Amino acid sequence: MTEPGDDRRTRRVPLRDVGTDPDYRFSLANERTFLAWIRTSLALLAGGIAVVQLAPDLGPRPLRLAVGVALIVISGVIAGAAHHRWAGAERAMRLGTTLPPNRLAVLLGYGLAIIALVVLIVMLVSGGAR
Amino acid sequence: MSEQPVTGQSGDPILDAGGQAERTRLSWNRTGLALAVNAALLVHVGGGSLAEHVPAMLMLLVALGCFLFAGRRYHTINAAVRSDRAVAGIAHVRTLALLSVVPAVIALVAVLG
Repeated sequence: MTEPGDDRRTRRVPLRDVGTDPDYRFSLANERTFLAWIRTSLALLAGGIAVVQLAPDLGPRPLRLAVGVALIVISGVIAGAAHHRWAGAERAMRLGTTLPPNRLAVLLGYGLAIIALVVLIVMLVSGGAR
Repeated sequence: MSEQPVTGQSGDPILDAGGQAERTRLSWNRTGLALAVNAALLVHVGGGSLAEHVPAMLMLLVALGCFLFAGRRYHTINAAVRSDRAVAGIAHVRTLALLSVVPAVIALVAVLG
């Protein structure tokens, strides 16, 4: 069995071979949290597509494209990072160590704040582009 | 360490105590619905040719897989809890994460194209 605290070595060991099986309720809660992040990522993806293709009155196309691409990129990063977070939490539970810090919420919070600010400026400057 | 199965007044183990498996199944179903909404959106913005609907079809396939998997996962969890096995589904979580990143890449290409 791998000793807790040997972080670098345990990351290379397959998840099932690390530590002991945790309470199944914790594993399932971790799985549902992962799925909630995936749905957040899918909502951002839908928002990105809609901004570019379905909201021509929002502002000039290059700016809409920039906002849409930013949303889609954040969506992809969140989907990938969600798996990383799930694996990290599962590993910590198997080893009985502290859960790793959640950087996804920081990324989502600041990313959306910047995008909201850009959209606000675009709307104020273009006046709806009508 | 796995928990002991929760038993009722008769002493028999309760199936899906606390609705853990059911809540996880519903979570998978909601994710499938979110994927289906994205697929509908991609169909709406897609052009007339079949090639332009490939991202939407891919997204729809992932949504379908999610729905099918939800039911299977429910039974797998109940069976694992009954026989005191681990419930973590490493392979499917990895697959879904990958399949969620791929549509984002395809949507990016579709939007920029």
